[in-house]
Order: sequence, then C-alpha cells, then structure tokens
Amino acid sequence: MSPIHVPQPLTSFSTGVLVQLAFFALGDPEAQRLRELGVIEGNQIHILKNGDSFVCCVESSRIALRREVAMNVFGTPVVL
Amino acid sequence: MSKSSVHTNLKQVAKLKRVALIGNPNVGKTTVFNVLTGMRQKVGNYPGVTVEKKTGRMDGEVPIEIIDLPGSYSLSPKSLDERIAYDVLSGHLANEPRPDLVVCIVDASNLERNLYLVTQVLDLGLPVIVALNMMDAAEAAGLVIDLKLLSEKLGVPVLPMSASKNEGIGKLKYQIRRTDLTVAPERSWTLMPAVEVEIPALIQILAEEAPKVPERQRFIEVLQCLTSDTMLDYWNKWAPNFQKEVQQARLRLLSNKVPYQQAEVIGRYGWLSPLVAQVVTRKKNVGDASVSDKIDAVLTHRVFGPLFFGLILLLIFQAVFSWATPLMDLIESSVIGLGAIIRASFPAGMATDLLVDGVVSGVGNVVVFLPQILLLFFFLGLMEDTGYMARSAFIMDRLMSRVGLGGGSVVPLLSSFACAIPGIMAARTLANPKDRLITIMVAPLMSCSARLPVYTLFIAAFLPTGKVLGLITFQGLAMFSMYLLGTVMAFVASMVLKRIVFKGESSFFAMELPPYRMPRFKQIFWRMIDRSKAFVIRAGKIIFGMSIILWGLARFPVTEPSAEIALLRSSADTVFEQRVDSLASIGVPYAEASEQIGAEMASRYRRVDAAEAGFQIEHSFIGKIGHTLEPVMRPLGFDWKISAGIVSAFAAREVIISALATIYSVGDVGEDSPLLREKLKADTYPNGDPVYTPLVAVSLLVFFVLALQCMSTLAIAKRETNSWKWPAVMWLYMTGLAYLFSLIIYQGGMALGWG
Ligand SMILES: Nc1nc2c(ncn2[C@@H]2O[C@H](COP(=O)(O)OP(=O)(O)OP(=O)(O)O)[C@@H](O)[C@H]2O)c(=O)[nH]1
Ligand SMILES: [Mg+2]
Repeated sequence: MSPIHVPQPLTSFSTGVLVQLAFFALGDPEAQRLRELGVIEGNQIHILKNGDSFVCCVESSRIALRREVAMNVFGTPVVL
Repeated sequence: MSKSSVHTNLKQVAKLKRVALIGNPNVGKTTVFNVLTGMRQKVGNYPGVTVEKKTGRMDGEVPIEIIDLPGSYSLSPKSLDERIAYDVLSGHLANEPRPDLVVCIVDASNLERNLYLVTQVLDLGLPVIVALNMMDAAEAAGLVIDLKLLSEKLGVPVLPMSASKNEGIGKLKYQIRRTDLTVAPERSWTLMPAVEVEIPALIQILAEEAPKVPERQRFIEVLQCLTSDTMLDYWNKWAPNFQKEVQQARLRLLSNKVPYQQAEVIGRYGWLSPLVAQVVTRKKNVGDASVSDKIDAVLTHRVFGPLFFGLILLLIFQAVFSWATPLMDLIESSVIGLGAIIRASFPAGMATDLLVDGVVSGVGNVVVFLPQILLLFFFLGLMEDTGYMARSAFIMDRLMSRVGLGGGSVVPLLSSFACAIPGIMAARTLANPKDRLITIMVAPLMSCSARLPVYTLFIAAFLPTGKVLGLITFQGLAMFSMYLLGTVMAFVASMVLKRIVFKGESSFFAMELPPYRMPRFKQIFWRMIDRSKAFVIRAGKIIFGMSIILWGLARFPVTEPSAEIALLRSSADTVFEQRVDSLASIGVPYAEASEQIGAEMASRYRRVDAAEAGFQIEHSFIGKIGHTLEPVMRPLGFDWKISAGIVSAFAAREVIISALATIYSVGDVGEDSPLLREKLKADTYPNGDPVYTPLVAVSLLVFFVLALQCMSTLAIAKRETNSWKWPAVMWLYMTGLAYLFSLIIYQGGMALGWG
C-alpha cells in the first residue's frame, strides 16, 4: 500500500529528496517571484541544502531561499 | 557611411533599425551586447548586473542600434530594473518607439524557465530571434536540445551560441541584419476558460480608447493589467474606461473564485512544459551534485561560509593596504620629481607656484592612491566574475534580515565599497520599495574608494606599524576597522529606519545562485582600466579645479606680515649685515662673505620665511574659513587647517588631501620633506604641542567614515528617490553621526588622558 502524502513544508524534507510542489502559503507577489524563478506548483525540485538556509535545484539552476520562505512552500515527496 | 555622419544626420537616425536584447538575469545579454557593439559594459556572474538601459551601435554597411536591457524573469515587472525592460519593449516610453526586433537571450541549460519570458515577448507581436546562449554549459550539463523542433514550435529562428567564447555570434549578426524577418506568430496557448472569456471584451475597449497600442500587443496589455496594479495605473490617463472595465472583470473573477492571478503562469507553463520535455533530452540526472554544489557545500556552510567571507574581506583590505605600497611610493616620488623639474625649468613666480603647489601637489597627492583603487576593483571584479558575489548575498541574508534588510541588499552594499553611486543604482534590483529606500539611505555609509586615500594618509602617518600575531599589520587592521565601523553603522541605521520609519512586513529572499565560473581576467583587467580612467578623470576635473581654487584661497588676500614677524626679519637682516661687515673688515671679499654668512644663517632665515608664510596662510581666505569653523571643530580635536580641509571635502572626500597639501605647501618653504604625511607629523600649535596626535587622527578618520561628503551621491539619491527629501535626510543624519562620534572619541580620549 503506498502512503498517501499530505503536502509538507519544504523544510521538512531532508537533502537529496525529490519533491513535487503542491502550493504556496505566501503573498501573491512573493509566490509570483518564486514561479518566475521556476519554483512552480506541479514542478519537481531537488532539495540540496536544508538547514538554517535552504537551497533547491530546479532544472539545472540553484535557487536559494530564506528558511522562512521555504517553510511556506508545500510539496509531497516523489518516490522513484 | 561613417559613424559620425550617422550621428549628425537626423533622418538616418530616425530610420536606424533598433534591436533590443532581453532575457532572464545573468544569461549573458551584456556579453552579447559587448560582442555586437565592441563596447565594454559591465559583465558579472550574478543576477542584476545591468540595471539601466544601455545603447550601442553594431557597425556594418547599415549600422544598427543595439539596446541592452536589465535582466528580467518575466514581463510583469516587480522591481524598477524589470520595469525598464517592459517599458522599452512595449513602447510605453515617451519619444521612444518599440524596437524593430527583439533578441531573446536564453540560458540553454535552463530552458523551461527562460522560455516563459520568451512566450511573453512573442505575444508583443514583434519580430523575435531566440539566441540560445551558454550552449557550452548546457553540453557540460548533459543536455541535448533539438533546435529545429524548438524553432518550429516557437515559430521564430533559434540560434545556438556561447557568447563568452565568441561562438555563434556571426550567425546572430547575420540574422539581426536581415530585413525580411516577420513578426512572431500568435499564441498557441490558452488561459483558463473563465479568464479567457473576459479577454476579448477588454481588448475591444482598449482598442477603442487607446488605438495607438498595436493590435498584436493588446492581448498582453490586457493580461498585464488584469494581474498588476502598476500596469493598470499606467492607463489612468490614456484609457480610464478600460481601467474601470478591468477592475470590474477582476471583481467578477474574484466573486467566482477564479485564481486569475495565476492564470497566466498556468497557461504559459501548461504549453511550455510539454514542449520543453519534447525538445530537451537529458543525459545526466538533474539532482546530481555539480562542481558548484561541492564548492557551495563549503562556501555557504553554516560555519565556514561566514568565516570564509570574513577572511576574504580581511584579505582584501590587507592587500589593498600593503601590496599597493611599492607602486604608491613610485608615484609619490615621481610627483615630487615633477614638481622639482617644473620649479627648475620655469621662472620663479606666481604661475609656477600655482602649477607646483596647486596643481601638481593637489592632483598628485590624490593620484597616488590609484594602485589601491585598482587592487580594490580587482578583488571586487574577482568576486563578481566567479559568482561568489551571489553567495555573499545568500550567506549574509540571515544577518541582514535581523537588521531589517534582505540578502538582496548585500550586492548594492558591497558595490558601495567601490563607490556609493553604482551601489545606489544596484538597489534597483530590489522588488520591495521599502528595502530599496533603506538600502539607498545606508549605502553611503559603506566606505567607498574615495575615503581610501584619507584612511591611508592618516593611518600611515599616525598609527603604529607592527604586526598582530605576526601576520596582519596593525595598519591593515586599522583600515579594516574603518570599513567595519562604516558597515556596522549601516546596519544600525537600517535597523533604525526599518523600526521607526518603515514599519511593516519582513522582507523576502529568493535568489538564483549562478554556477561558479573561472574568472575572465581580461574582463576584470578592462574593468580596472575603465574604473581607474574614471578615477583619474575625476581627479583631473574636480580635484584639478578645486586645487586651483584652494591655492587661490590660500594665497589671497596677500597680507603684510605682523609687526612681530617683520621684527624677526629686520633683526635677522641686521645680524646678517653686521657679520658680513665684520668679515669684510678683515679682508674677505664682500660677495664671499655674504655667501658664507648666508649659509650660516640659513636655518634662521628659514624660520623667518616659515613664520611669514604661516602668517599669510592664516590670514588668507581659507585661513579665515578655517578659523571661523574652528570653535565648532575644536571639540573634535581639529585645528583650523583640518577644519578648512573638511569644508573643502564636502564636495568630494579626496579633496581634503589636496586641501591639506595646498595649505602645507604654500605655508612651507620647500626645505623639509616634501611628503604630506611628514609635514602633518611635524605641524605644531604655537605652544609646541603637535597638531596631530593619534587621537586626533582617529577622530578625523571616524569623521570621514561617517560623514556624507560627496555631491554626486546626493545627486544620484535625488534621481533614484525622485525627491530632495531623502538626500537631505541622508546628509543630515550622516553628518550628525560623524560629528557625534568624533566628539565622543576625542573628548573621551582626552578624559582618559590619551591626548
Ligand atoms: N559558460 C558561459 N558563460 C557565459 C556565456 N555568456 C556569458 N557568460 C557568463 O555569464 C555571466 C553573466 O553574463 P552577463 O553578460 O553579465 O549577463 P547579463 O544577462 O547581462 O546579466 P544581468 O545584467 O545581470 O541581467 C558572466 O560571468 C559571463 O562571463 C556563455 O556562452 N557560456
Ligand atoms: Mg547585463
């Protein structure tokens, strides 16, 4: 039985995990900025660094987020 | 047709083909621009290097105007630099038609995100070429791109290239010159139906009210207005009905719970993502750690990251202070040599004095600092070119968010170490207007290169030499402290501004970290050359002019020496005559006797000369200014000469050096050491106390760290904030801080008996 995943904040995943983005709990301009950077609902991202700061990998670009921002981006882990 | 005939012939200028370069930040637009035009605009490996529109000319049988734009992730502008890009492409600027061709520069290793902007540009209905730049990086990342398919799907030419390696430029030039390019095809993607149905009516109204908007551009204008208030505001004047209709459409959508804000993103990506999946084949896994990731694991580490950053800064200041010394000594002695040559080859008199005391010593004393400034730019260039600059923003974000700013302010603040003007301009990349204003307000507290000469002079003259831990020189450390003080004050100021003036939401930080690249030394070299040219020209213009004025102020009005000094001279003359006479009386020839006595009495005469010159200076205009100010400046430990120097430095900081050089060389008879720092050391009050103690030097240094003494900074702050209010506040608070701190330091030091 595959577990049913409830979206979790990005900061709850460990490094190396592939995450499918679900939704953003951010203001409109902030969410829009993330989308422009390629961090879009439905896209998959790799978690590269998750500590006091946060870095993820979208396609071949590296996006750095403040931890408080990453805490408000939700997604589900992708099981390969 | 020559270049100049194009400039002069207005008709031809009007017909000149205009080509705009647009693309995401840091994809190589300026690199392409520079190759096309042969210009040397600034290129750097971090997002947001270009913040202004720049134009240049591509030569050829028919010259073409090329426009370089600030990078933008989308045409829905959030920050000022992104706004510029949209305004240029949409023809919203007065007196500036839309470009004839748009070249979209795209990072091939990051197609999906980059193509988002491309689809927006396609909707403008202009001829478009897509330049797939960074093909080298894409290949290295294991990406294979089906160019033919991509071009078919987009309906525009797609050209692969690697601009920094000069590959693929020829084909781009050829395409740009083509005259048969057709406009981009209409969109083949759709919005969500609930939003899509609103569009035709809005387009209709816009077409009626603002017929000047080209037909093909109407759709994107409507879409922009639907989602952005700033875009909607633009139509206040032009199309009030349209504006009202858009607002009603928004309300309708809102009441039906349609997420219309996201409609554009969803629609465009819904079309793009499958397209990219078709076009791109990956030979490697995306999540694999690249070399950059491995470097970042160390350089952005929680502990090592900030440590490394601190070390880098310390290294820079240490290098700027000690590595530059040999070259500076060389320039210093050439300046002195030049003065001596001029004195020897021109008749003595007013003009020669002006040339030597005013011009050569004024300009020379500032040009001496060129090696340091070159080194500073070398290191900043290295940080920018390798990609470390973007990391510094990331590392510092945590700290910056504590003082009320975000990591985005780091690059503007770091650039301000070179000069506050590019620093203030770089604040354009900040999307949050409050963050931007705070950054502008505190940027001038970062020690700019114009302060460097002042720091160097006073540190070298008055602080002890020697090393700390056998590694870092004490003077290098003192220099570092000056920079640290400015930085800490900038943080404190932004904290205060954030708390008191701009209460409100916390800032946001999301930034792309570009891959590390090998620095391109040729590029850094040219930037150093360009910057030093600017520095020398500045020294040439402002300082040259100021030197002449200062010399005049020090030399006039010509004052008769006081009775006391006159007596000194006449009594010296009497002694001289008596001694010559007595020698003559024992048979020595008169000429020989007067030469011998003259030599014996040289030092006495020198003292008389110095007293006369000193009296002249004190009663000159500059002396009067200094004396008027002295009561205010005395509590900071500054005598009238320093006070006069500070007044003259309000135009530009380096001028204090020319001013002191002028004051001391007019008041000096050329016998002592010609080095300004030696003269400063030797200066005393009438009671014999030295004018400059280390405490005075520290007080003066701190004053220069904090005071806003730069006309150009005020002017740029006015331009960027659109009012005189902020520059005025800036000047007042910085100068107030400077006075307060110097006062506390000097009075505190005196009380502790350090005077
Ligand atoms: N590997 C590689 N690097 C490139 C290429 N073209 C440019 N670069 C590098 O990419 C970085 C960014 O170049 P810029 O020309 O400043 O980019 P820009 O698009 O003008 O950037 P902004 O003005 O910040 O929007 C620099 O370090 C360039 O040396 C290329 O074809 N391949
Ligand atoms: Mg650029």
